[in-house]
Amino acid sequence: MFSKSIRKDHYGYLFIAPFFLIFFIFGLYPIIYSLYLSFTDWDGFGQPVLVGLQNYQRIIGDFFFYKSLFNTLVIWGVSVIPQLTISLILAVILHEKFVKGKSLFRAVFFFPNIVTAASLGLLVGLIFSWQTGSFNQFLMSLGIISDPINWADKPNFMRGLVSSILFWQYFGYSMIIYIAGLQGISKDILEAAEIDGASKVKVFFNITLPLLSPIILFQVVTSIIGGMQIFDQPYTLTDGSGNPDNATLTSVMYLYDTAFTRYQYGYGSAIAFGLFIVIVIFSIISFTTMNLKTKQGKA
Amino acid sequence: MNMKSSVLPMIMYCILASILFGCSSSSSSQEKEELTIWTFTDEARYAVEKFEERYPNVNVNLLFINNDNYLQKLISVLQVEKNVPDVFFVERTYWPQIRDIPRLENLTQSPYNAEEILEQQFEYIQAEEKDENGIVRGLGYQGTPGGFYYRRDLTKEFLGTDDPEEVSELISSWDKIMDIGERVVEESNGEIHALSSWSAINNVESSNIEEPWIVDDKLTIDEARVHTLDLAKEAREREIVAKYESWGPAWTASMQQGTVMFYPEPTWGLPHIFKNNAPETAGKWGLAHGPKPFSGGGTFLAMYKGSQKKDLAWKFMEFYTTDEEFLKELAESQQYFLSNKNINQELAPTLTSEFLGDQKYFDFFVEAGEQVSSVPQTKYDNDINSLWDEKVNDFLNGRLKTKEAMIESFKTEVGHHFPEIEVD
Repeated sequence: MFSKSIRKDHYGYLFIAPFFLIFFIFGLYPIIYSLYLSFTDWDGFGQPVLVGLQNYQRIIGDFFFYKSLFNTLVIWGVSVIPQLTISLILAVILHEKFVKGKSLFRAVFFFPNIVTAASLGLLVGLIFSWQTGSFNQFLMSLGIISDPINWADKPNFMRGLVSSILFWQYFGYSMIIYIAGLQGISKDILEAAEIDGASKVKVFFNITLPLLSPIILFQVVTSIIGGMQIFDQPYTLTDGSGNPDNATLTSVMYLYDTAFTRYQYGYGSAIAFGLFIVIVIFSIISFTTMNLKTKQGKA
Repeated sequence: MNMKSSVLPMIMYCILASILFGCSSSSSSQEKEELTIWTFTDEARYAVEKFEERYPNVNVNLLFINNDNYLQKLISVLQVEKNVPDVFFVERTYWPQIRDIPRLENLTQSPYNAEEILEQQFEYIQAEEKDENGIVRGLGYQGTPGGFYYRRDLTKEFLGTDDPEEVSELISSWDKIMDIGERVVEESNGEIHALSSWSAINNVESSNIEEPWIVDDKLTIDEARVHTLDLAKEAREREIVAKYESWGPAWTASMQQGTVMFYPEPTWGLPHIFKNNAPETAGKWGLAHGPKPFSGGGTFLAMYKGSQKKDLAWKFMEFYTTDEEFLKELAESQQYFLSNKNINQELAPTLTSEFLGDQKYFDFFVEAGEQVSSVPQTKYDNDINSLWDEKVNDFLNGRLKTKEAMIESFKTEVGHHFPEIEVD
């Protein structure tokens, strides 16, 4: 019935070839090329001039790089904590057996994720615009304020606004991932706990949460990687300026401005690699802390 | 099995046919010469249409790109020299950045001899068309002197006249405008302001700058800029200006609602700003001279050095800047003020605008254009201008408390973003 040796066809490689071809051309090549550029000074005309580590030296003393990193972390942190907790709660509720209209709610919560980030930034920008924004008009019609407030002039408010957009956009997405994770938890365990008389809260903390930890780790890591790359929302919200006082200037906006409006490709590439290192560090931190927790849990 | 074997030839046939049809359609257009033009303004459509009418054997491939992305796209194609258009439109804000790129055709040399065209244009435009070595790199087709557009109903109510000359006399200095503004705000209970924002003052004053931001690789703050800052602060404190952001919705709405009295804007403000945003106010507007002559914006046509269609490209540029028949038609039908002084002058006695209460606006701008001086600009000016504007806003809105702090913060940012520039 079985032939002596296993047939090794190479057709498989053909099937995976398109992805790798595209990845090499549009993914790997630009990454390596920008690594090269990060050691040069280049404005796009003529040949790049090698300058050694000069760009990296500039980053180390670059106030705006740190500020943009700080902004990114603040915006990310303020959006991601409620995003990951509220979506978990929603996921658990919508995973309950006796909730009516589950699929409707799942869909509705997911809808914001479909909207283009750039248009959300524009829309929110219009709502909070100084003289004609509907939010100010609303407050004025209620008599809470008499003069319109210049929201775009308040650094922390604008950071918060970007965070809220991100939260609103991604909590549905996180919820769907959690639901998928919840469906992977064996019903036997839950039923056993129920029969043993465990309350819902106890089940959640002692069974659901530990069993969901790989999903939570996945969410944290992807949100770190995504969060460090926040760009569209603050860019369109502030017309690309990152104002007020550069409070909404995220790292990727800073990279974009450097490379594509000031045409300092060398320094722009160096910022990209600086950002890459930061992302790697944060990913390692989250991996190790999560792993420690699960190990502790097992022990 | 039979089915399968007949499907393959059919697909092959379809592919073959589409390739052949593709070829045949391109071979029919081969008789026509192709010219590729990039633009950010829809004005180009009208000109291209007329150009194609005049030269029926030319097919213009006009690519319209939104102004937000235009500069980046243009610079990237010039960097890699792939798919570069033969001719491209460049807006004045970033023209100095493009002008110095060594991939633009030298238009001073023959067969172009662009200097001959320049002679017919306003002096301030001539200066901007040349690079730092005095070589013509682009041609401006638009004349952009400015004036104070005003609401006749408002000046009649508050100043007792809507006559352009009398109004010009009443607003011949910033002091006078500030006094009027103060009175108007008071009498209208804060409803009506003399100017829309500090940008209105900047529109005028930025035309009177003598030194660009960068002189000999050093950051230089022209006195006129500091003077503008003082004026802006005073205007804000005395409530002369409303807080409407230029091009924002509140600003455009104010034109329709009549909550701002004066708008210092260039020639093209008439079709592109006022008619567009406040079409129902036709006849309610007038044009007066303000405290100082000024100009604003403008568009230049440039040619790619490596273009294969230089003859044709030049034909288009020449057509847009010198063709008398076309330019007259453009001026009359589009209310378009030109860079070509001769034609403007010829039309000046007859061209009136219904929108401006039948005022002879060409006549007005011909006079204004003669007094406009050119503003020296470097490739850094566009970027640094926006940094400066941001800092001024921070200062006026109170986040930067003093003028000194504002200037310090501005210098830090410039020095940081452009390490090659010397900042003290």
